[in-house]
Amino acid sequence: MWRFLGSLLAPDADEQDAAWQRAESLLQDSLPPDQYEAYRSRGFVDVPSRKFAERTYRVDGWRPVGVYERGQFVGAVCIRPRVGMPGPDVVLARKLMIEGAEDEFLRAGNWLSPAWRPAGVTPTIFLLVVLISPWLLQLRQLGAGGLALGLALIALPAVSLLWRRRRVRQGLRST
Amino acid sequence: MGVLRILGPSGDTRVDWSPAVPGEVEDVRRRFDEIIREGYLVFELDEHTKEGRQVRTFDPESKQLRAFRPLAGG
Repeated sequence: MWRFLGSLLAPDADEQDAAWQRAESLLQDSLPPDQYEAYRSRGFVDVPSRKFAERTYRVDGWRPVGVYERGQFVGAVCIRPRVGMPGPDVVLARKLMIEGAEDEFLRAGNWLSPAWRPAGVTPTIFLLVVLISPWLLQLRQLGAGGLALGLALIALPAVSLLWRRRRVRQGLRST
Repeated sequence: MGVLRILGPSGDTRVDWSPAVPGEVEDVRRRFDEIIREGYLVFELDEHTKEGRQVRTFDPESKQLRAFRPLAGG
């Protein structure tokens, strides 16, 4: 009875299961054992870039490909098959494109820059600045120089964040 | 023995050949050229590291080939 109901709800479920299993088996044949084990336990594989020494791509079968530099998330590449493919086949295709045709991978994919993504110590610095800004503003009693110094110290986190984001964007785009 | 596995919506299609059998080599070469013309990307896996290297011409001595249509920006 369950089988009958299942066939009504998803008539091609058996076919999809079989395709998924074939794809899983192909992925196993196509990855080194340690990488396949990592995929089985975590659901993704890390693929080192051949073009950028400190870049790694995090590949799974459904989300955009994560881009990490020195272990830090810097953006993602949205790239997918034009026709539906089982998830493990998508993993394999993305991995092979990164390894063997990284330029094309970067050209074809859409870049997703992290929007407002607090990273590292930036939020802490902002909080500290907010807390100490009344005291920083008191620097105006030292005259114009003191006021400028206070404002500069308040603006410093925003400037450093903008500079960092610009640098990351340039790094992502340079091929 | 070499194997070309072509990825598709319902899993992969497998094409095997032996370099010692000219008929098989010709068949797979024809198939290889056909998919290249259709715009497929073909990668040869390194025997030890399994890393992919893009290939555009068929080498009968290849062991493991994978082919799929190019991925596109999503």
